[in-house]
Amino acid sequence: MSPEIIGLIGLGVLALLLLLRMPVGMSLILVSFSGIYILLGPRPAWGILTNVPYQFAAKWTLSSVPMFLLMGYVCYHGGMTRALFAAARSWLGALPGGLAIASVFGAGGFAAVTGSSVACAAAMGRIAVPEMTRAGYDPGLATGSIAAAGTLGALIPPSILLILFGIFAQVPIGQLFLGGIGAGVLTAVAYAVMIYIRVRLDPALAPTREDSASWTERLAHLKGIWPVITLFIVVIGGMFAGLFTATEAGAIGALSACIIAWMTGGLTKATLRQSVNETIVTTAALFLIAIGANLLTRFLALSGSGELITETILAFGASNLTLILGIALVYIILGMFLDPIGAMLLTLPVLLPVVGEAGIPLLWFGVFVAKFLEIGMITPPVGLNVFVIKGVVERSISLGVIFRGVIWFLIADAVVVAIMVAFPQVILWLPSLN
Amino acid sequence: MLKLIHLNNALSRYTALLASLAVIAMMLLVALDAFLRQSFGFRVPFVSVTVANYFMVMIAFLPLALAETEDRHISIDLLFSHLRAGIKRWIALVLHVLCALTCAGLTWTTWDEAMRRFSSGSVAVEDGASMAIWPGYFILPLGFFLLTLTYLLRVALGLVGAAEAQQPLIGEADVAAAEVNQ
Repeated sequence: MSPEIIGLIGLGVLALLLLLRMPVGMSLILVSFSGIYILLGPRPAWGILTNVPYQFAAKWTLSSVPMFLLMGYVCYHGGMTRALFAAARSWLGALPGGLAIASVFGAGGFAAVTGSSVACAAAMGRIAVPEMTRAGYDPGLATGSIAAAGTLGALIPPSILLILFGIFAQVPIGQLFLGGIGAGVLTAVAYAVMIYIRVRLDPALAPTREDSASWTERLAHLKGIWPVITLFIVVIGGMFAGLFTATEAGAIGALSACIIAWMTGGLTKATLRQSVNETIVTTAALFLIAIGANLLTRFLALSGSGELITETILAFGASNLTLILGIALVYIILGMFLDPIGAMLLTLPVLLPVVGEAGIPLLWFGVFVAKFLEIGMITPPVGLNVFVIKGVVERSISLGVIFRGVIWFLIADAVVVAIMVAFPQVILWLPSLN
Repeated sequence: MLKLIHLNNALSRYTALLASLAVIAMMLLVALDAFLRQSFGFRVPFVSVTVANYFMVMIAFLPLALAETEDRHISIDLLFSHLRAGIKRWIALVLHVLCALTCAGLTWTTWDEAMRRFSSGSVAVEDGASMAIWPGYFILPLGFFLLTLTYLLRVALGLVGAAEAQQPLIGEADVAAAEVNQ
């Protein structure tokens, strides 16, 4: 049997194990080790299995992952979202669909201090959905807007998804963060415009509020969002002003979040313990997959099947646009069933060489992948963000209503993706200034 | 069986506690180093070595068993949830055996490597000074060993037909109670 065939069989076995609900990290490690064992024998296989876990985890650059996770969890459990929503509501609440638009921008603000879309959706959902329901908003619009706005968490820096992409694809994390800002702002604006147009066309979706805030109230509300603004300036500003590296930015961000949450009364022993516990469990689960993906990269390279897949895809003579659309389809499907970071790490060993050979800028591709994986977060049948919102509203709104509400945001996402593909500068412009 | 579950939960919690301390220590150390460098042009010695070879290794491997105990390892629930209960039980059993074997292999090989590093006294060198890094290698077999035990427990639970074989071994009530007690 040729090495390429062994590689392809390995990928088939991997797919089977994943479908049978074997943990992604374990499946990747088992298949890659077995494949290398069959290809090269026991010594190289055990050698790779011995070295990769330590070599992968014992990295200075990777330490930004647990640090940014901790920062996000502290902000989440420290309750920094309430003031964000209040400020956005006072400025945007008078617009048609103003509360939903305020939720989108509130989530955008929270995304600047958290790298996770689930945390973003959960934090904003707890505050904004009940308020919109009380104001008589259409349940689909109220819940759909939060589920979709949550996806900004993984686009606007800091983003765990982009950090891991940067480490795997060897793209500077700071550049990816800047690219993510373009995609995140574009997405937030597209969502807001879509909500505005929908409510203008069908005012029954969102009754207009009579009690628009005065300028004094608006300015007063801005004071409440100082924790988030401070954190964003310290972390992202410090990084791009060259004061510290992305790795240091994570630690400084986490420490600043702890101090600010303590000053605002959001940091208790219980919230700190919960934040730290979630940080270590999430990190360990993610790193196990990353180690497995690292092993799979080696297995595919050693078997030559990675090269075979790349050559086969490129031999079709497909344009870069067709290639990107094909990859987009893969990510939308995977994103429906799998955690976005898991889906990304699972596919990068196969896709990165293809994208590299096709001459697509990896910086743009990283942001594109993040966007598509986040679309998967609101797509049926799984759509994690939708389930998070369902958890918030419990029995009062059905899952079907939330998914129907999300469809409009998926249309806005299609427009965003079309703009990203047609005008790559939307992503590449900010990084080019740095 | 309940005692085994409690023992597993306690072991995974206490080792994860070390990882929690590592997260806090890493945050303080890196922030302190950045502050001192910016303010006084002074660097804390061996920061990157300590972070990479101790803290990161602790954070990556010590909570592995807790993640499995809480059923937080990422998996795809596409086909499995639609299968009949009887089939699910046997598939889960086989997969848990495979996971236990994989982790046992990782434990064995990383232990072997740790002993080699111990014998050779592995160090990292920074600015002409050296720091021992071999102790960090022992964290990997510890993390994988505990994960092996958790999978073996799931195998045992699966063999006796207990529902816990496919569920989190720490319930939400247990987590809340533990948080109150700690």
